Amino acid sequence: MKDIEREWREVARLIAAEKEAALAELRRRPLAPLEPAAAPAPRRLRLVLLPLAASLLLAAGLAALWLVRGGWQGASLAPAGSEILADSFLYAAAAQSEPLAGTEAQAPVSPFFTALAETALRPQSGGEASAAAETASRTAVERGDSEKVRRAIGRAIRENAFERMLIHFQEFHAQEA
Amino acid sequence: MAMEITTMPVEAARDAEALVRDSLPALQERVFCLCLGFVGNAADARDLAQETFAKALAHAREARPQTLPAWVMRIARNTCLDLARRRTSRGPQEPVSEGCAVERRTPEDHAGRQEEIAIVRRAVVALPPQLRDVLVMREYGELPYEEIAAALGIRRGTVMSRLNRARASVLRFYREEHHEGH
Repeated sequence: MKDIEREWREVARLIAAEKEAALAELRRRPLAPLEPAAAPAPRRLRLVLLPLAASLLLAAGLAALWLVRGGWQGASLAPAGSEILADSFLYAAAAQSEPLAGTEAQAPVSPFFTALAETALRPQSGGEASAAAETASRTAVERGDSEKVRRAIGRAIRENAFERMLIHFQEFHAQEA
Repeated sequence: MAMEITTMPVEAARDAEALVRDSLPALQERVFCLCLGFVGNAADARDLAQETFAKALAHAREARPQTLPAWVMRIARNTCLDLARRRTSRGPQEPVSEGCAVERRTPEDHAGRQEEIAIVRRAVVALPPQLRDVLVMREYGELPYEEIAAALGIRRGTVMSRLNRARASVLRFYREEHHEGH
């Protein structure tokens, strides 16, 4: 038994020597400190920083506007997007190609809209209407001349033509039936 | 009540993390030695100790103040066994050089000492896993019987009996190897 203890002491000494050599290296170069697991901190920081950054951007934008216009009174006079883009090549190209597209491809005119426009374009006193004027009005509608139609509808509204329009709708529906 | 339910785990987790973080420096050398006992290589032991601490911190919620050292040692043991499983083909590593920590001897003495350490290393590696766990925890990790029992989930008496068998086995191996060498 004593021999076993003595032998084990020798083995234990060898183990201790192995450990001591390894520990000497560890003491010279300790383990890297563990990174703090502070995950919530960046989130809190984000919650503060994001609104702050947004506020700063807004303030910078307002300051820039104030500098450009020379005051708040002129803020509404800021150039529109179309004015700013007018010099750009793409915008100019789009503006040129627009009329062509408008003449070449016309949308089909709804019969309901045709009837409405015809009613609006019809003169107040039926006897005064000339065939040429009626043809011109119809042509304007069929060509989709929106400006002319808009003016005519506006005039009809001003002349209190709703009643006549309703009567015409009744007639129209009666004919359809 | 709902407030308590949402905030309590966060506070508990912070406390547990602080507990583990504060305890790790004191356990650093023991964990390192334990890893050395399992892998027999200072470089690997260093990596494994670092990995153990990272795991301990990541699972800090599971730590209990009373059993913290045993808990960390269990993590270290499992980490070492994971590495051993990954490296089954490589076999035992060379023992560390004694370097400047041990008094200078003649080259012959030094070589003889290194050879004896290598024999012990081989003897430990050759132990059955159950005996090796106990021996490494006791001789390398310097854990008391109670902590070994807690770490391995066995009784104190079982720890003592396994330790005796492990020592006897290492001595037998050592004697045989030593006599063959001479």
